[in-house]
Formats: sequence, C-alpha cells, structure tokens
Amino acid sequence: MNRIRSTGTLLALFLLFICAFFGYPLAMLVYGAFRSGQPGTDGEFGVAGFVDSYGDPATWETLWASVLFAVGVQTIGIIGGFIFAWISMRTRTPGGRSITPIMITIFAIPTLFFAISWGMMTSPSGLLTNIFGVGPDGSPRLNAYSWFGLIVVSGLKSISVMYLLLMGPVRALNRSLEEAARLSGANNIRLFSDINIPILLPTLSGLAILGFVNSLGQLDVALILGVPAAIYVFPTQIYDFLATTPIRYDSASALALLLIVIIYVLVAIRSKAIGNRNFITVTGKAYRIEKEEIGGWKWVGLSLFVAYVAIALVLPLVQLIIGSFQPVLGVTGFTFKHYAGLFDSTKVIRALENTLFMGIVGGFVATVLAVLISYVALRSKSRWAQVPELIVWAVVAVPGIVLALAITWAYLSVPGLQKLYGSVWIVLIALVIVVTPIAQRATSGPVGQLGVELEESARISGASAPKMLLTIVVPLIGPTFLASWFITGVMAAGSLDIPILLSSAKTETVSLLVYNYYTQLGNGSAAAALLLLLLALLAAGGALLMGVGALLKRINARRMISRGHLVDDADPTNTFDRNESDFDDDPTSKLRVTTAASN
Amino acid sequence: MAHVSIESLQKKYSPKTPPAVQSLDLEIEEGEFLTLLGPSGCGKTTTLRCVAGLERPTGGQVSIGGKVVDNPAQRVHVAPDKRDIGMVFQSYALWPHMSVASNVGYPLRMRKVSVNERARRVREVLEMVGLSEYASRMATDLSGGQQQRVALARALVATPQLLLFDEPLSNLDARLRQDMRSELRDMHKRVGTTSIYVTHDQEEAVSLSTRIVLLNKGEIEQVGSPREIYWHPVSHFVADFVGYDNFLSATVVSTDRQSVKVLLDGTEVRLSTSARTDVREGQKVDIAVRSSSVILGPPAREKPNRFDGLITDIMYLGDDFIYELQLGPHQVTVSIRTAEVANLWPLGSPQVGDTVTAAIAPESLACLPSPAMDAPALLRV
Repeated sequence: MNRIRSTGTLLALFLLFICAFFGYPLAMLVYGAFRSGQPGTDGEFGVAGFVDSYGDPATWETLWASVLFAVGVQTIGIIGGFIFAWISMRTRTPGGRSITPIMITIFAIPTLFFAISWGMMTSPSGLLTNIFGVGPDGSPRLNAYSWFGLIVVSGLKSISVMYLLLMGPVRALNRSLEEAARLSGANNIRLFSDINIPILLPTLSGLAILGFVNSLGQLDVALILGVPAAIYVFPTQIYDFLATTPIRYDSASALALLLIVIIYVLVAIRSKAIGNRNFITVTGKAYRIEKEEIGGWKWVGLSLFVAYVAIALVLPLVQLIIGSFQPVLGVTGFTFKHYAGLFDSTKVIRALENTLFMGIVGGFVATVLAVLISYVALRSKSRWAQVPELIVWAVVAVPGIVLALAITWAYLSVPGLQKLYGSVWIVLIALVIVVTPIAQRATSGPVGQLGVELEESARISGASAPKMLLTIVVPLIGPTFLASWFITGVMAAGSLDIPILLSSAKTETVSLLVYNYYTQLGNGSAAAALLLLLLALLAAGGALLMGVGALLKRINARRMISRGHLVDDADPTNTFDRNESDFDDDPTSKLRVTTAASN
Repeated sequence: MAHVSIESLQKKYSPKTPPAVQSLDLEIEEGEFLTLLGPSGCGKTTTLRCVAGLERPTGGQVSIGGKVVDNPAQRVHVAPDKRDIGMVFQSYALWPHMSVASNVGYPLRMRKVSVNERARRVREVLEMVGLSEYASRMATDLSGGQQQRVALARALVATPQLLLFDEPLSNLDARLRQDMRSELRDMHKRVGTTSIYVTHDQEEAVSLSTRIVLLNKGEIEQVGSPREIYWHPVSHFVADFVGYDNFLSATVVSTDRQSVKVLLDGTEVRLSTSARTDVREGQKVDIAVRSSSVILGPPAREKPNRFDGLITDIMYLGDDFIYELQLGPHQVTVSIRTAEVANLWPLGSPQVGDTVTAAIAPESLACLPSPAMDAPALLRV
C-alpha cells in the first residue's frame, strides 16, 4: 500500500516537472503576445503586438516568402533524398555503401557550415566564382545571397535528412509486391507508377508536410544568406523584431504564435489525411532483399552522388580550409594566424567549453528524459502516464527561435528564475527542450520493446531491482542510448537559433561566435577556422562513439566466448549483440526515426 | 497450358558459396501438377524463381511452351512480365493500395483487356474462389485465408500458360491449410493448367501433385509419383524426409525376382523387390520402416519378418500409443492407433519390460544404400 502511494507521488512529481519544463514556456509565449513591454518589466495587456505585426503588409510578404522557401527546399530535399535512397537501398551502384555514412555526416554538420561556406564560395574570389565566373556587371554569376542560394543551400542539407527518413520505407518496400506485378505483366515503368509510388505516397506526403513545417522554422540559412539580400522569412523576421531597437517582444511573440498555429494546423492535416493509411507497415516474407543490377544506370547514379557530395560537402570544406589560411578572407596568402588567434582568445576557449558542455550535458539530459518518459508511459498503469509523451510531441514542431523567445518569457517573468537568465543554464534548458523530442523518437522504439517479462524473469532469477536495471535494461538499451546521446549532443552543440537569443557574452557557444565573426565582425577567415575547429570536435565525438560501440561489441563477444557458449538466437544477451550489429549494418536505424523534427 | 523444360539449370549467387541449384534437368508435361519438395535451402524456390524469370540462371536453359526463356550462354532472358505466368506468393503479395477487384484485375489490365471483359472475368474468378462479395474491399482488410484466395484468383484470372506456387499455404493455420489444399486440387482439376508447386510439407506434396521432385542441396534426389516417393524412397535422405523413422543396418543375403533377403543381426528379413532391385549379395544396406507400418502382437502365428522385442518405453499421444522396442542392438519406434491397442490385447496392454512380437510386411520396408557408402573408404567397416 505504502509502495503504491509512493509510486503515485513519484509519477505526479514527474508529470508536474515535465509540464513545467516543456509546457510552461509555451504558455508564457501566449501570455507575452498579449502584453506590451519586455519580459520581467511592467507592461499592459493588449493586442498591440498582433495589430502591429499582423497589420503590417510586410508580415504577409514574409509569410509568402516563408512558404516559397519551404516549398523550394522540400522539393529539392524529397526528390534528391528519394533518388539517393533508391540508389543506395535498391541498386548495386558502385560506392553505394558509402552513401549512408556520408548522408549521416552531412546531417550531423551544423547548418551554419553550409550557409557560411556557400557564402564564401560565391564571393568574388570564391571557388564557385572561379568556376562559373562573373557576369557582365562584374558580380559573380552564382550568388548565394539570393533566393537561389537560400533554397539550394537549405535543400542540399534537406536531401540528407530526407534520405535518412526515406531509406527505411524504400528498403521496406515489399519485393514480392513488385514481383507479383512483374508476373502480372507490368514492365518497369508500370511497376513504378502502379505499385511503388502509390505504396510510398502516404509516406512521401507525410514527410513533405513534416519537412515543410521544419523549413518554416529554420533560422540559420535565412539569417546568413537571406537577410543580406533583404529576404525575410518568419524566423528571421522574429529575430529582427528582437535584435533591432526598439525591441518588440509582443510583435515577435504574436508572429511566433502565428507560426506555431500554421505548423500545428499542417501537422493536424497530415495526421488526419494520412491516418493509418501507411502501407509501409505491410510486410511480408521477402525471398531476398538483394540489390539489383541496373546496368549502365549505375554510372548515372554514381555521378549524381559524386556531384552531390562535391557541392554539399567537399567544395564547402575545401573553401573553408582555404579561407581559414587566408590573411583576410578572399585575399591570397597563407597564414596560421587565425588558428593561433583562436587559442589565444579566452573568448574562444570559453565558447569551446560552453559548446562541449551544451553538447555533452544537453544530449545526456535529453536522452535520460526521453528514456524516462517512454519508460513511464510503458510501465505505469496510470492513465496520466501518457501525458509526458504528448507534451513532448507538442514541442516537436516548435522552431528553435520561437522556443528561445518562449523561454525568455518563462524565465524572465518570474523573479526567482530571472537569475538563471544570462547563465549557461538557460541556454542548456532551451537546448534540452528542443532536442528531447528527437531523443524521444530515437529511443522510444527500443524502450518500447523492453518486454516486461524480460524484467520479471530477471527478478524471479534473483536480481534486485537495481541489479535488474544494470544487467538487463541497460545492456538492452545501451547502444540506443549512446546513439541518441550523440545525435542530440551534436544538434545541441551546433545550434545557432537558441544561443543567438539566449546567450550572454559569457555563455557564447562556438556557433554563435562563428556567426558573429562572419557577419558582425567581418572576419570570415577566423569564422572559417573556428567552424573547422567545431567540425573537428564533432568528428572526434563521432569517432569516440564508434570506438565505444566497437569496444562494447568486443567485450560482449569475449564474454560470450569465456562463458563457453555459442552465440545463438535464443540467448537473451545476444539481443545486445544484435543491436550492435544493426548499428554497424545500418547506423541510421536509430537516426532514421529521429530526423523528422530536426533541421 | 504449356510444357516446361529445364535443362542443366544452374544458379550461383556468389563464386564463394556452392550453387543454389546445380545442373538440374526436368521435363514438366502439359497439365501436370509438379511439386518441388525439400528442406529449406535445397534450391526449390530458386528453381521456381528461375522459371518465373525473377531470378537469372547462371547456366543451362529454361523453356516454356517450346520457347526458350532463359539461356545465359546465348544471353537469352525473357522478362517475367513477358512470360505469361501466374504466380501465388508465400506472402500473398497483394497490393495494399488496391481493392480486391483491382488486385485481381491487374494482370488483365496489363494485357490490355477491355474494361467490360475485365469486370466479367474478375467476377467469374472471384466467384470461383468464393469471394464475390468482397470485390470492393481493400485487399489487406481480408483475413489470411481470404487474401490467399485473392492471390490465387489473381494468378488464375489471365489464364496464363503456367501457374507457379511458392509455398502458398505455409502462412495459414493447419485447418485452413487443409481446406485450401483441397481447393487447390479442385482448381487444378478444373483449369488443368501446368503447375509447379514449391513446398517443404510432404503431406501437401503427396496430396496435391501428379509428380514430386525431391531436392537436396540443389540437386534432384528422386523424381516420382507421390506413391513412389512415399513407399519407395531411393535414399536415406528421401526416406527421412517423407517420414520413415526407423533405420536399421543390415546385409543383403540373396536377391531374386520377387524379393530381397537381408540379414538383420542374424534374423533373415524379406523385402519385396519393388523396394529395391539393384543390390548385390553381401552389400551393406539400411532397411527403413515407418513406425506406423510395424504391427505388434502377442508372440504367436507364423508370419514373415517377425521379431521379438522388449518394450523399453511407452508414450501416450491421444490418438496413438508410441512403443519403444529393443530389437537386439536396434531401437525401433512403433506407433499403434489407440483403438487398435484394445483389439490387439483385449486382456490388457503390455507394459514396459514385456516382450512383444513386431511384424513388418515386406512391402512396407524400404532398402536403402547405407549412408556409410557415401563416406570415405577409411570409415567403412
């Protein structure tokens, strides 16, 4: 009896915490939209913010621009992602095995990298200008500071996201459905138009809406490439309200609310329209899932991929490296001074520390929260146990810049919490809120598969509750936990939209510093050097993760051998091994579900 | 309807692994219902898929209705959609975005049959499989058995020259499987299309086929009528696969036109000649018998092939009693119908430790080359 009451109290506390942590800031955003003045100061309630922002025709132009931007980006993303998913999952194209790791790399690289490097590449002495030359008026033919640049640069990154989301569905396409069509007399074209596309349609349209929603809230590229060309989309408009005096919190909040409403309506339409019409869940025993020989087409596929990697990854990287060694960006010469300068600057050292902190702690906290939320939903019999999951799902669609604004309202308005403002904690809190939904998606599958009987049998076998957690639960979800920690850590470390609003001079992160160097201080070479340093850090994190994964696998294998039994399917500890090999074979199995909300 | 001819068919998936099918020769007559039977990995599905054109053979030739559809040496490969074949898949392979009627009508659509004619034939074939009232339902809303019927209707609708079945019943439960089995039989009697059927279930093979091909490791072990395969297996492998559960090693003492005599630990045993004729005197053989073919009784009347055995274990399985007998050095399993036990021993059935007489009719004994014959000479005793 006592025990039951105490678990009930624990659950209630957990619920309360989740509501406060995730739900409260959003509620405060609504409050802020109806109130004049800055958070934490005196103000009057009213609709001035709405009148101000909705009454301005520029707002509606911004809305139109946002839609154009999102549609353009998603068109590129879905078509490109689908083509590469098909090449990699279904055909025997040379180099096909490298597609997934490269896509993960592109996915993990902060958006900032693409925006800044493309900006540099199309500058008068940039790589692309060298290739495409200058027009009659003396300006580079390709200009990233334009609609073209905005859409192409975001689109290139979006291809990697869509690839990771589509590879599962494309691979899961039931081959016998295709074979049945072939035997019914359908040729390749009919097969595609009658069978494959209709079966994938719910998935494709769902992803299109999801991607569209994400593009609507994306700040980085629009800020770096759009604002200099006077192209404003929602997130940059919100940022503009907050970054230029007079600071108009109410207008920014009103605009943010509009964005959130649009996003929720779209998400609702999506789930209504598609509902359970997801054909991908239809599976069957396929005779084999081998890839097909496509003859000469494989060279077409290979060149497409090589071209993509060149313009999305290699050229930008080369440009950044060149730029980081130039005395002043665009001026020929060779110097180490920018790198030397980085390590001399206490600002940079502090930013590195902050970024590491955000990545490691933020990713960890988000993953722990996500696992707890799924675990509670799975194990608790209370009808309230599903609420935390719902709240986290509600946060998934909230753009970073909007969340940062909401956090400002939530923490500046309360005297006690005000002290957090300007500290590293406020940034951490915001980052955790933004990445938890992603951690939730990454971990909910494996946590959901933790059959209660696995735990019960451990208890019956004599394991205490903590011992059971340590010997059964942790090994089973360990690999997933690591993967989720890494993904969310990378996203937290590379985020720009949260720190740009919430960081103070002392709590700057590397991405914010890069942005400041590049735009405010006009020191592109230092920005390039710093960005490369950030990439190196992320790469080191990735290498560490792979090393740990390999080590765990080896330890596990040795344990098997020393116990003297063969690894077989009936062996429960083998689940761990299987997870691990899943990870090798398809490192994105955890990523795949995750990416929906990202970027 | 078509005659199918497979000549030295070979399919290798990779240079490192042994071929899935090696040098397989098979003639399938018009209207025949031929079953490829064997354990998983024996190459039966690969063979079927080569005939379908879903797999490209690496050697040999396949022709359907006199037309060569595969000959890798001459670079001939006819695409599956050009072969005029109907196929029923193990996983049903119904298109989830189409109704039952559109699933079934799809092969006709591909053959550019007019809309009216299509509707008529879809109705006809759905009636045949008893699913007329489900025409407008989504295919995947139906139960497993119904889905399998839709798949069958789709394979039949265009009256293809050849029907292929890839373990179509293995996803159904036992009851449904029996129903579907007799439906498939009726269907074949009615349409008479040449059919190739793949299964690992010997009961299914025996009840459906006009001829069975038993495959092992990509090669043919035995071809014959269901009766031949069932009662006259030619190898240890076949006997084992079709349910022989007692194998006793013996030596041939004499052969003549009617019978083969073997010596089983000093006891002479007679086998009918149809079991095996190409054995020599003095040869070591295995004789095989099903547990259900052994007759038990009290030690009495003179019958051929009688042995006294000690009961070492009795197991009750409901319909049957299983007796474990010790016959000299051999362990023999005997199964007796429960009802018969009471007939045999009206005064109470024997217990463990009792001795009973086991009789085996000459015609239910199979004589197989001893598996030791396949082993290297050193291992032979």
